[in-house]
Amino acid sequence: MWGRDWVIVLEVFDLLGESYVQDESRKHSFSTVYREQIEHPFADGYIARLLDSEEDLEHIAPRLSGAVARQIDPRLRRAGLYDPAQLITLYLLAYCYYSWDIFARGYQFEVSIFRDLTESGIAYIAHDIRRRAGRLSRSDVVVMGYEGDIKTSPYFLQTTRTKALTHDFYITRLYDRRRRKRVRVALLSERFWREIDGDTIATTIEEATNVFPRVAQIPFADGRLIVIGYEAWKARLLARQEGE
Amino acid sequence: MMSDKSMIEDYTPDEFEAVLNAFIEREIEDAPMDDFFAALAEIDRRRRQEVIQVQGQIIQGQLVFSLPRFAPPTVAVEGNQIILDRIHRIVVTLEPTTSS
Repeated sequence: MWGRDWVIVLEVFDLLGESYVQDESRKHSFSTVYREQIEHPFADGYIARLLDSEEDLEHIAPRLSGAVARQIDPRLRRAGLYDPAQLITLYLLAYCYYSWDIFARGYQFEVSIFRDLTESGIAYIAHDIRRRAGRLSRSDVVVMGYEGDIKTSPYFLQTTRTKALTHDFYITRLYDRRRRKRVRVALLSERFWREIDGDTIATTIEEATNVFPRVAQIPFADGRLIVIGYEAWKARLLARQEGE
Repeated sequence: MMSDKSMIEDYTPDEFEAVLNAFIEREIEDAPMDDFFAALAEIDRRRRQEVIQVQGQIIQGQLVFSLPRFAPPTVAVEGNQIILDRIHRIVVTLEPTTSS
């Protein structure tokens, strides 16, 4: 997909969230149905099992997430919100599958980053993802007093489309077609970058992909973002933390 | 697997269920790096071009702003204040006209 196609898909997803089904009593927006019927009942259990498991997340997370996903259809049917003969409810079903998938893969990624930061000896404070109130905290992780967010790449784009980038760093994961492998990437505010310091190559947003894995500085909104490989970011952090 | 069906209604219930099952079981998909930065550039470009129509009313002598229904969440209003990116507040006050 091209950049514009991605953005259109994200817009469609947000529009679907505002769509609604109606029963005798009230209108239910798709996003409300998803939260009430799927996320609220299943999220805590899914995340607790991810956190408590010692298994490889790549193995256990799809199993746990799939077990929840298979309950979406029967659960919506029982609630009178899904009937294959009603076209709109097919869209609702698809929206709930997609939303759960984004949620489950997002927390799988987040837990994998927490594990990795711990194993790497980075000092950090993670938000409490076991409870919804903790999950809604302003930031996912704090390093050296800087607030950060951990997001899969589709979810990063989805939120960036409608929300300002107010954190000092973002950790995401991309697929590097040239090297044919997944790479974790950190996007930093200039404020945070000044703390850990180093040379950057000023470039356009689109060209960042050609600069990587060298550190790129790209314009975004009214400021600049620093694009650096996650491993290189960790190495700089560790050196900085050990020097303190 | 490519499908010639482009709309949800093109699928029979069994086919639709199979699509959803395949969706659950697919491998992790990360955005390709070039697509990711192209999308980020597109988001940035759209933001720069976006015009947000803020309406103001005088209610009981006070200026009160309202936003269109589909305003981006990066913009909010509170009474006579416009809040950008949840950080910057623009406070607009009305000065009485001075007669010459």
